Amino acid sequence: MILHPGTLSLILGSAIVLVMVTYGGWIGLQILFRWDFSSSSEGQLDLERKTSLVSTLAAYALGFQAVSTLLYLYTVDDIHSLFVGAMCATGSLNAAPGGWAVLAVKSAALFLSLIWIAFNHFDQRAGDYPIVRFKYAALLVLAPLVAADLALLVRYFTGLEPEVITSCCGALFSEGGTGVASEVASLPVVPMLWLFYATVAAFLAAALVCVVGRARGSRYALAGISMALLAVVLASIVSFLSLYVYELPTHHCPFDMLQRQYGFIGYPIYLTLLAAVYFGLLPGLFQPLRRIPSLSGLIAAAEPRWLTWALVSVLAFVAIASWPVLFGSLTMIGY
Amino acid sequence: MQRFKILEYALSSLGRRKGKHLSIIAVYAFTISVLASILLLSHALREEASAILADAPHVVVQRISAGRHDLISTDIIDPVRQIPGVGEVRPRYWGYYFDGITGANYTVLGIDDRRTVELELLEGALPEAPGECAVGGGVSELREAGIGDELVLVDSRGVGVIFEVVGAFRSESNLLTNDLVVMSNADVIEFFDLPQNRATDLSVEVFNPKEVQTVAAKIKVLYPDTRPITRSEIIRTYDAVFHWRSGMVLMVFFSALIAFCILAWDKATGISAEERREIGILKAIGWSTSDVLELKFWEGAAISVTSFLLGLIAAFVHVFLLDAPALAAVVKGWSVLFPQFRLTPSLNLYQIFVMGFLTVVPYVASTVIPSWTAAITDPEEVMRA
Amino acid sequence: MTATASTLIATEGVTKVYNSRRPDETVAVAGVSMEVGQGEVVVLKGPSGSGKTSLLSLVGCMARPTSGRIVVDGRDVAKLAESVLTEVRRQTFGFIFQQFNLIPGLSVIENVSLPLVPVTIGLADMRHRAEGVLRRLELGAKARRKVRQLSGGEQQRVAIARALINEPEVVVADEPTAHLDRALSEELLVILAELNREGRTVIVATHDPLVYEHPFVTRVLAMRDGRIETAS
Repeated sequence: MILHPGTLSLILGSAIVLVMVTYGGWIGLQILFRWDFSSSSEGQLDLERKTSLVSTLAAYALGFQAVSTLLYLYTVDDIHSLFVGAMCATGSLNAAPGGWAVLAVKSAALFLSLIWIAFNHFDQRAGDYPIVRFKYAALLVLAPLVAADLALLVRYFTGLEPEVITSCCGALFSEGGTGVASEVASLPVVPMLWLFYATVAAFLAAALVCVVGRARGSRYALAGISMALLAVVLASIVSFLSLYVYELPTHHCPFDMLQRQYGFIGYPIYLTLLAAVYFGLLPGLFQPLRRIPSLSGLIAAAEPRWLTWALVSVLAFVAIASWPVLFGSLTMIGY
Repeated sequence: MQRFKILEYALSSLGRRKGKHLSIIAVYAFTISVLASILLLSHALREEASAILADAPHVVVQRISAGRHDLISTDIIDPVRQIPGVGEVRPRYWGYYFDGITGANYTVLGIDDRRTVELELLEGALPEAPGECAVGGGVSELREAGIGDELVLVDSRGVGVIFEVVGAFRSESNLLTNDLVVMSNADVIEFFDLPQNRATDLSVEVFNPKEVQTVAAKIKVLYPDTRPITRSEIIRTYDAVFHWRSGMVLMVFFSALIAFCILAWDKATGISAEERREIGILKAIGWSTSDVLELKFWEGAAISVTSFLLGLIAAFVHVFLLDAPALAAVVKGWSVLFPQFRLTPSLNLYQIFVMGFLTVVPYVASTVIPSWTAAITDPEEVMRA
Repeated sequence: MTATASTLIATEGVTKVYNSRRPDETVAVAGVSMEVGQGEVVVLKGPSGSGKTSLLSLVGCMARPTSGRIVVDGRDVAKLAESVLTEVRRQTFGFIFQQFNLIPGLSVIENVSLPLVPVTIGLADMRHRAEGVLRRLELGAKARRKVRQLSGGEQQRVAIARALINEPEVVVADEPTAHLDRALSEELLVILAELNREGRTVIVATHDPLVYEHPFVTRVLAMRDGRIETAS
C-alpha cells in the first residue's frame, strides 16, 4: 500500500517538513540559550541573522503542511476503491488504525503553525524581538507534533491492506451504527440547528463587543467562543449540514463535499470556518502581549483588522452553509 | 504591487545568468518528466481497466481443480439461478490462442446472443453462421485480415481452420477488443474441442449491487470447488497491481530525485562572486534580508514553474503521443510482442498535485539554506570592497 | 559647530570591533563621540585604516556598533533589529560608494529605481521618480541605455541619482573621488554642494585634499586608529 504515488509523496513531504522544523528548532535552541539583545557582539548579530532563517524554514514548512493536509484527503479518497465497503475517504480512513489520528495531527499542526507564524510576524516587526524566547520554545513543541504526523502516517499506510473489509460512511456515519461518528450523526437535527445558529450568533456578538469595547475579558471570551464554534460546526456538518448539501437524509460524510460533483462547496465552507476561528482566536492569544511596549502599538493596529476578518469570515460561512439549508430541495424539519 | 516588482527583478536576474539557470531547468524538467511519465501511464492504464471492467459481469464463477483454473460444469447453472437476487446466469466459452506466425496471443471469445456483447463494431457484422468471425483492431493489423478476408487458425488437433472475417471491432477502449477473435459459441467449442456440458466459466448477474458479496459467498458455499470472482475484486486487484508497479518504478525515480537535489544544492551554494556582489549592492542600497529572501523565493518559483510545465508537457508527449517506449514494458507487464494500442489521454488535478509535491518540495528544501546564506550578505562588505 | 543647525546625528562612545576574540581581532572604531548638525557638510579625513569608512557605515545605519549609542533624528538606532534599521536607512540616507557599484546588466533607469523595488510604491510612481531624478542630473536621454555603455562621469551621476531616489535627508559618500580624475572630482563636488544648498546634510569620508579643502565643507574630523584627533 505504501507504494502508491500519493502515499510516497505524503511520506516524503512529511519527512522534509520534519527535517526543516527540527533544524529550525535546533537553531532555536541556540537562540534560546545565547540570546542577548542588549549586546551587539558578533555572536548576537549572527543569532539575529539566524532568526530570518528559522522564519523562512517555518514559513515553507507551514506551506507544505497545509498542502499535505489537502493531499492527504485527496489520497485517501483516491484509494478508497481498494477497500471492500469503502465508498469515499471515510472508508479508507477506517481501513487501518491511525487514519483519523493522522488527520487530527495534521490539522493541529496546521493550526499551530499558522498561530506561530502570527507570533513570529509581530516579533520581527517589533524591532527588539520581545517574545523571541517564547517563540522558539513553541517551535520545539511543533517539532514532535510533526514527527508524530510522520510516524502515524507511516503506521497508517503500512497498515492498509486492500482486502480488508471496512465500514464506510454509510455504516459509520449512519444513525444505526456505533462509535463517536455515529453518535454525532444521530444527534437530532432541530436542536443541532439551534445550537449551530446560536453559537454563530454568540461569535458575532463577542466579536462586535471586542470592536466597540476595549475590555480584556471580551477578547478571551471571543477566543473561547471560537474554539466552541469549531467544535459545534464540525459536529453540525456531520449531523445535518452534510445532509442538506448532498440532499440525502442518510449521507453524513464530511469529506464528499470537497468533490467536484458537489461543486467543491466543501472548500468555501471549511476555509471560511477556518478563517473565522483563526481570526477569532488571535485577539485573545495576543491580549497578554499587549503589555510589552514594543508590541502594544502593533497589536492595537492589527486587532481591528483581525476582528473585521473574523466577522466577514463568519458571515460568509453562515451564508454559504445556510444556502443549502434554506434553498435546497431537502426539508428535514419534521423528518 | 511590491510583490510584482520583486518578481520582475527576479526574472530579469535569472535572465542575466541564463547559462546557469538553463542547466538547472533542464535537469529539473527531466526529473519531472520521468515522474510524470510514470504517473500518467499508470493512471491511464487504470482508467482503461476501469472502462473495461465497467461492463464486466457482476460475478464470474470459475472452477478450480488442483489449484488451477479448470472448465466448469454447466449443470450448476440452474441451481445458481435459484439463489435469491440472481438474475441471468450464462455460460461463457473463451480461450487463448497462441499465433505461431506472429508470436502474439489472441483471445478467442464465443458469443451467441448479440445482446451480451456491448461492443462497437467498426464495420461489418457479428458472426452468425458457422465459420464466421469478427476480429479486433490488433489482430486485423497483425494478420492483415480485414472484412471479407480469411483468417486461418490452427486448432488443438493441428488442423488449420478457415474463418471468414465478417466484422472488425472498434471499441471505446482498444484494450478491450484489440486481441479479440469473436465467433459463435459452437465454433469455439468445436475449435478448442471442449467436452459437452463444460464451459470456460459462468457469468452471473446480480440485481442489487450491494448483494454481490453475499451471492458470491453463497455460490462458494454451494460449490466449494468454484471460485466466484466479483467485479469489484477485479477492479481492486488491477488497482493494487498498478499502484505496486508504479511504486516500484518510483523507487528508481527517487534515486534520480536525490541526485537532482544534490545538484540543486550545489548550484545554489556555488554562488558566483558577481552574484554575491550584486546582493551586497542590493543590501547596501536599502534592501533588507527578507526582501532578498523574497527575491530568491521568486527566482525559485519561476524555475520550478517553468520546469514543471516543460516536464509535464514532455511527459504527456512521451506517454500519449509516443506510447511511452521507455516505461511501457515495466508498467504494462505484457510481452513486447503484444499488439500496440493507443492510450486515452487523461490528466487530473490530483496527479498534478502529487507530481508537484514530489518534485517542488525537495527542490525548495534543497535551496532554502543556500538562498538564506546568500541573502544575509553584509552590506558593509560592499563598502569595504 | 554651526549655531543654527539642530543635531541630526549624534554618537556617544561608539565602538566597532571585527573578529572579536580571534587572532585577527581589529578595533576599527574606538569610542568615538561626535555630532552632525542638520545642513552641515562633515568630512571624515584620514589615511586608510583610520576607521573612517567603518564610522561612516555606523553613522549611516549600515552596521551596528559593538557598543555605544547612535542617535539619528532623535531615535536610538544602535539596538534595532535589521529590518527596522533598513527602514531607517532607506528613509534617511543616500549612499554613494567608492566603486560606483552599479549593476552592469541593467539599464540606467533600472539601476536608479533599484532602491524602490521592495518599497510599497506603484510601478508608475517609481518610474516617474526615477525619470525626475535622472533629468536633474542630465541623464534623462540615456535612461534606457545599459550602464556599461556610459562613460565614467555618466556612471558616477547614475550612482548619485540612485542615492537620491529615496529623497534622503543625508547624503553619505565613501571616498567618492578615489577613482576619478580631477575634472570629474570637481564635477562631483559641484553636485554635492548643490545638494547641500537644497538643505541636505552631507557626510564624506576621504583622504583627498580636493574634497576636504573645498569651501562648502563645514567641518573636518581627522581620524587615526579609530579615534577622532582633531576637528576643524
